[in-house]
Parts: sequence; structure tokens; C-alpha cells
Amino acid sequence: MWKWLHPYAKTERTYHLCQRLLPWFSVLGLAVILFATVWGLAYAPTDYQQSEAYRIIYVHVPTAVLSKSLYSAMAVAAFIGLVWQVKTSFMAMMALAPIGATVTFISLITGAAWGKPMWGTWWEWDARLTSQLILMFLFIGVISLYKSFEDKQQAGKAAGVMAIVGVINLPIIHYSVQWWNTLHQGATILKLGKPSMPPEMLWPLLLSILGWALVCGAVFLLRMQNEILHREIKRPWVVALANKTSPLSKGK
Amino acid sequence: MYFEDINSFLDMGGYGLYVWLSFGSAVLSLLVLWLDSFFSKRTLLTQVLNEQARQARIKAAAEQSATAEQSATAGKSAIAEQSATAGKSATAGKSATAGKSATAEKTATAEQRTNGETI
Repeated sequence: MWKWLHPYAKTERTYHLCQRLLPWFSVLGLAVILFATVWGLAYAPTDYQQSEAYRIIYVHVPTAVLSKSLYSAMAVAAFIGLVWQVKTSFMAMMALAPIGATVTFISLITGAAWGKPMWGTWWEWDARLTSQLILMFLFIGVISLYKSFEDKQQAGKAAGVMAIVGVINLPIIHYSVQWWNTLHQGATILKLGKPSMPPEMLWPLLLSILGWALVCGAVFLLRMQNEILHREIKRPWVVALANKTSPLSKGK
Repeated sequence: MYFEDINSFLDMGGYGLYVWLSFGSAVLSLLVLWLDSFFSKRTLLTQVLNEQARQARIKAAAEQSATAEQSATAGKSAIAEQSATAGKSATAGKSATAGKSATAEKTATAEQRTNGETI
């Protein structure tokens, strides 16, 4: 059933697959993100309570949603790497970690910029904000743990265990707005029943989530290629590839 | 468009600073991430080419020294042949070891080249 997947454990094929998908993800992602952001910023109606400040939602929510998705993806990659000893899987984990860290950072910054006018403070040690901060530290922790080992197979295992243990933080982030009294508002889209948002506000939001996901996908493909190149730097196919693509070889 | 003119769009109902701070920092962070990913790919590919050039240099140097050694021992043995027969066996041994070391160096560079394949 899973046999079609097996060739992709071979890094050369994965590299070329990434290369094929990269332009699609980049172009489509940038187009969707631009379209959704312009729609959200300039065309969506205003909020009756927060007026125009609510428009931060069109960058805050996509990044916050993606930070959790990227962490889950990273943990799944770590799990596959640990259980089936697939080294490509650890490469995927390490390609995802910096993207997750960046996206979490953006969600924190935009959250602070939204919190200042609405709550009167840039930062508060409340449950949602603190757990999100911990998520960023987990991403950074996975990266640093991986980098601290010379043997990359060992590094993958150690960082993988850390990534899996950190999954405990995901439900804490998600339910923090219900479990504790917090400044942060409750769920708007992902909850039982209808989302509490009119469609002319909701559509640009959903599109911007899609756009951010595609752009993160594009960066993932690029970083996955880098991880493969880094690990396989002495292989003949990498040498052949470098001779074919690098601008330096043109002069020779 | 929801806003009447560009100024009210930039002002964002008085929340312009916060809205544009959010979007600006998001764009900046994403740009940094992308630039890092893009340039590390280029660095890696350049590194491969540099390593290739280095291996080529090592190989060329090894071959050069091997041929130099061979010609040196060849000249020596020619002189030795002209002289007394007692010294013959000694120089023959010398040239044999010189030839050996040259081939050893050659195989060493060959191993270095194929190192990646066997791992």
C-alpha cells in the first residue's frame, strides 16, 4: 500500500521532486497570499468593535495556525525517522524547524502589535501567549539540539525525541483559551457549529491561511533540498548537479 | 475598496502603526527566512565545486610528483648501470620502491574521489 512512497526515501529522487514542485508552490503561494492580504486589508468590511485594528487577523491567524501545523508535521517526521530509521525523514524535520520558528515568531510579534491597542499591553504572561512562546522555544530547541551533534544520525534521533515530547504543548495552546482565564479571545473558526464571522471577512482569512501554507511549503521544499545537499555533499550525483546548475561552472 | 482614499487606508482608523507593524514584520521575517534558504543552497553548490577543484589539484600534484620521482630514479639507475655491477641490485630496489609509492599515491586519490559512493 505504501510502496509508492519507498523511492522517496532515496534522497536524489526527493531532491528532484522538490525541484519540480518548488516553482508551483512559490508562485501560487505568493499570488494567493498577496490576493488574500490585499482583500483583507483594503476590501473586507470593518469590525464593529475593533474597527480597523482587527485587520491584523489576516497575518496573525494564518501564522498562528501554521505554527501548530508545522510543529505537528515536524513531530510526524521525527516519529517516522525514529521508528522506521528513515534518514530523509530527519532531514524533513530539520527543514521544517526553522520555518516553524519563524512563523511562530511572526504570530507572537503580530499578536503583540494587536494586543497593544486592544488590551493596552504588548505582552502578558497569560496562558495562550506563554504556551505560544514555549512553542517557539521548542522549535529553537530542536534546531540547537540537532546542531550540537557531530554525527547527524545521532542528532536526528535526539532532536526527534525532543520534537515528539514537545507535542504535549499543542493541545495546551489550543485549549488554553478555554482552560484558563485569558486575555486572548476564544476560537473563531475551528469550533463546533458555524464560525462566528461573516463570510466577507472569513473568505480572505481562509485564503490567507492557504497562501501562508503554500509559501511555507515552498520554503520547506527549498530547505529540504539544502538538507539533502548538506548530507550528501560528497555523492557523485550532487557533484554532477553542482556542475550543471552552478553559475561558477559557466566560466569553465 | 473599503477605504475612501490612500490616506485613510494608511491610517487604518488610527491603528495604522499596529497594523503596518504587523504586516511589515511578517514580510521582513519571511524575507529573511527565504534569503537564508536561497543563499545556503547556492553556498552548498559552490562548496561542492570548490571541493571538486581541490580534489583535482591534489590529484594533479600527486601525479606530477610521481612522474618527477620516476624520471629521477630512471636517471639514477642509468648512471648506476654504467658503473660497477655491484651497485646494480641496490638501485634496482630503489626504483622499485619509488614506483610503488607513486602507484600508492594514485590509488589514494582514487579512493578519495570515490569516497562518497561507498558510504
